[in-house]
Amino acid sequence: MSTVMNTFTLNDPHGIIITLVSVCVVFCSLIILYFAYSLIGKIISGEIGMPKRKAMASSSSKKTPSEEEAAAIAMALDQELNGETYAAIGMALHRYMNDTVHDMESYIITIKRKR
Amino acid sequence: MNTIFESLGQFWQYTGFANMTLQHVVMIFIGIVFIYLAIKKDWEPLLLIPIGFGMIIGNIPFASGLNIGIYEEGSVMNILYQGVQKGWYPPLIFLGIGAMTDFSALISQPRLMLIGAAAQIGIFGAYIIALHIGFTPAEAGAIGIIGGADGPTAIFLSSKLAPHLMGAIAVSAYSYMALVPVIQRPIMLLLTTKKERLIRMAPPRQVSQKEKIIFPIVGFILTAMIVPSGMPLLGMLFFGNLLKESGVTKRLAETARGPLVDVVTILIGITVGCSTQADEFLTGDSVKIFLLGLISFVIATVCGVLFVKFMNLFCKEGRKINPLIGNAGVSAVPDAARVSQNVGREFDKNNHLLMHAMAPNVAGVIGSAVAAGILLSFLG
Repeated sequence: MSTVMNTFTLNDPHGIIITLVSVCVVFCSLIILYFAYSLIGKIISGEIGMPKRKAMASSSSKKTPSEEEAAAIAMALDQELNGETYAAIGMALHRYMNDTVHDMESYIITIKRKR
Repeated sequence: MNTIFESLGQFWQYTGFANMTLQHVVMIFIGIVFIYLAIKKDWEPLLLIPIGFGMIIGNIPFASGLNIGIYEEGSVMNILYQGVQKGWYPPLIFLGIGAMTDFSALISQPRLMLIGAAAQIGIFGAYIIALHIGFTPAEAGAIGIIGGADGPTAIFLSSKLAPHLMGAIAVSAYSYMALVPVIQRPIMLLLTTKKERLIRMAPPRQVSQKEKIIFPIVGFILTAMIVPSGMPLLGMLFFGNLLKESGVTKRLAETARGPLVDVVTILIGITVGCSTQADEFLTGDSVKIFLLGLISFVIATVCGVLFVKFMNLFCKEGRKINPLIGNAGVSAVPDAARVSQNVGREFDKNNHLLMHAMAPNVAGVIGSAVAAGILLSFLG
């Protein structure tokens, strides 16, 4: 039996100390990972670390169509005359301004039974 | 004429029939039961078939001196067994696991990582009980790791701490991994109320490619710095994941999660099965190990579920966690997460817990490797 094991057998015959220390280390390791990934996630998603001016610029650029986009919309309006087109363009503009232009995923996984 | 009979008699002495004992018959029967369960019940067939057949190979009796047994130096089976004895098969399996696991669920909800830590208490609960019933600290540590529900980790640790118990520990770990749905479901139902089972969790946010690439690098550096002795397992796990997520090493990732992990699974299964020779395996210690393995699994599941309930005390409405994912803190990926999904759907057909349960499940893989590293540094 090694010296380390002898020490454990003598000092911690019931294994309580090693259990407490080990559980603490496992928790600490995963808590550190938790903080690390929370921080990385926030930095990457731009919640923290992004300069205010840059963040404002990026948010304002989302709300206002660029010159090219405005020109394209104007051209489309000019060329198309029926009401449905106006409605479609209006809806697209509305969704674009509200940043809901992308499909919203439900994140629900559907599992079909194997046949 | 006499010479012919003498020769036949001599040959008879070399046959398995002449050397057969009741113990061999029992072990061969157990091997057949494993194969039956794998084929008929679909319980971990990738593991139980190689282990089951390995048990049959390892328990064909033979006269010693032929240099064919797994414990005979230089025999073919002995050479293949080196990967188990020296502990280099488990890290290769971890490489494959890393290359096939998507950690997105964990990255998007890092708080669920703590459930993976709570479930590791099962390892240490079994360690304490094993000490009390007479095992040495090293043996108790090797037995306790069964509660991590991770076959490769159990083999890795027992090869270092208690090689003489490795066969029983490995078979016990893989058997209970196959029995995850049977063991965990009643505990989950016992510890949760109907209202808790109906909790719907908010969908996780999307994870960017950049986060997925950073995850294995940061994860490895942090965990290996804390527990360097877990480096072989953690290093290979995160390396495999980096191969998958980097996007530029597709061929390597495919090899790691495909042919490589398949080859190592075959070798690990067959050699672990072979190592269960009747005279070494059918002992009182093996029975105790099986019982302790069951206890550690139960403690792990209980701690995982109760820890979620504890976390819910501090969570605002709408951020509460369904305690049915608590069982997934053990590292049986993805079986434990599948149990959460199935039990959740028993009570609400539209409540899909699989993606949420995958977070503690993969955290359990990391947690059990960390726990193995700690036990190795204390008891190795």
